[in-house]
Amino acid sequence: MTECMESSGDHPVLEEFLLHHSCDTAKARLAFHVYLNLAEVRGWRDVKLHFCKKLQTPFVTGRPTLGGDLEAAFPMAMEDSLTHQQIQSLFSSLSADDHSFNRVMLAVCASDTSIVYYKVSNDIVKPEPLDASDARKQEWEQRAAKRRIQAAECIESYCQHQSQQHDEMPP
Amino acid sequence: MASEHVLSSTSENISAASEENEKIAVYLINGKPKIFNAKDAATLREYYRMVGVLVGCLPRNPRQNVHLGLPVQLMPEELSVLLNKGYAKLLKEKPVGPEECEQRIRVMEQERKANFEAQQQLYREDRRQEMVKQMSHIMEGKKAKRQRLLQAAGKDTPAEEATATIKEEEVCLDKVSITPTAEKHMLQQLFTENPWKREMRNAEEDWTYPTSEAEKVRCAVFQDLWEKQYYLTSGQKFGGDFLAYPGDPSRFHSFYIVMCVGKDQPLPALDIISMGRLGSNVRKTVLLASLDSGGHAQYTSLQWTGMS
Repeated sequence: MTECMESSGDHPVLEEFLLHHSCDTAKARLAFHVYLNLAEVRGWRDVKLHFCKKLQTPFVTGRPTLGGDLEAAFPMAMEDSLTHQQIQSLFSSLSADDHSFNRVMLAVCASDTSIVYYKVSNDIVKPEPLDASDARKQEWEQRAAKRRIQAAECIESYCQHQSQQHDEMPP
Repeated sequence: MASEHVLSSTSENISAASEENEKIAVYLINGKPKIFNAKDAATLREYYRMVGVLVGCLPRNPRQNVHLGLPVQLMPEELSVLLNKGYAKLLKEKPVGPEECEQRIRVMEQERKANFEAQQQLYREDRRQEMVKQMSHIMEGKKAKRQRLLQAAGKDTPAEEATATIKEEEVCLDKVSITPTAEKHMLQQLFTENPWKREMRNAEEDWTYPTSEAEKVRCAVFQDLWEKQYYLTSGQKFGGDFLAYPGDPSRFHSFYIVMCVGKDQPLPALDIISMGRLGSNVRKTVLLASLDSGGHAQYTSLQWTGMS
């Protein structure tokens, strides 16, 4: 991954980050990768790159939805391992703007640049009951259906507009 | 860390049994703790939230192993908590010598003989009662038989005479012979408790669990979750140490797969991912549990985010 990302000019966010923090370059690039994924692929809002001095490691914060709660994502390479004590220390060490986190997303990055996210919570969290996940699935399907209809309508109106223009063109 | 108190249970304030004979008797057999008494097994489950596993043959349905019966076998952690809290006593039977075995065999044979004779007597009484009830049918049958025999012999006796002869015989019911039942049809008593006089000794010094670090973590985590009012069973079906239920396992699905780890044991990323995935696929939360430097249980819940 380092080979493909090695370029003469890095992304300004990454460059600024490396300038301000004495961070291991490999770790910084990993964190930046998660930053890009969350900001551009997942559509998270207010995505920021941070450096945790206590753990000497970068992490990413952001909001999955506009105006939603702030979440933290901790980057981790697939070949890495963490002890339970280290996971517990994430809850006490990671903080952004005096906001500490009771729940952190573990972002596991593979060498092919794919990332898998897992929620780790400092709590005993009850599993989602059947009716709640059914309701969620139903809502998602309804939204998808709406999007399909909207897309079809846009295409329809564009085609009509095009044919109108064609008719109005002088011979 | 917010702890979750699920269903409030009747056993919130269980105090230790003040007397030895109030404690539940648990027998150590080949290193495994077992309870043979049905009432004790029910008390353990309903009052002490210790479920255990049924490992015995069900007398009413012996030739299958889908539904097993007593005794209940406890997990080592279950026994350790019961002993720590003073709810149970661990016993071991003093081995029985060959002379005593011989004596037991003799007593058993005597009992069986007496039982058989008593049953024979009861059977006779029963049969006699039945005959009284069926008297009319029996007489008709005998009459018909008598007539057939007479006709076969060529004699022609009027019907009344035939009936008269039969009546005399029937009055003496005592003289009617009843064939005795064979011993193989005898009813055999199945004891629900060990009937022999036995000598028990305290086996708590034999119980060395937990010894290794991993066992200590498991035991401490079990006790902590048990104190939080969960019901816990073995987690082998889901590749974990325990399954934690919000109520009796016969009425609820488990909510948590508990995985006990050492606090400084490195967990590879792939292992964390497989644990998380397993939990999501079976609709349970994976609970990573370890003991902090102070010896207190600390938990981390693992959930898949659903972002694919």
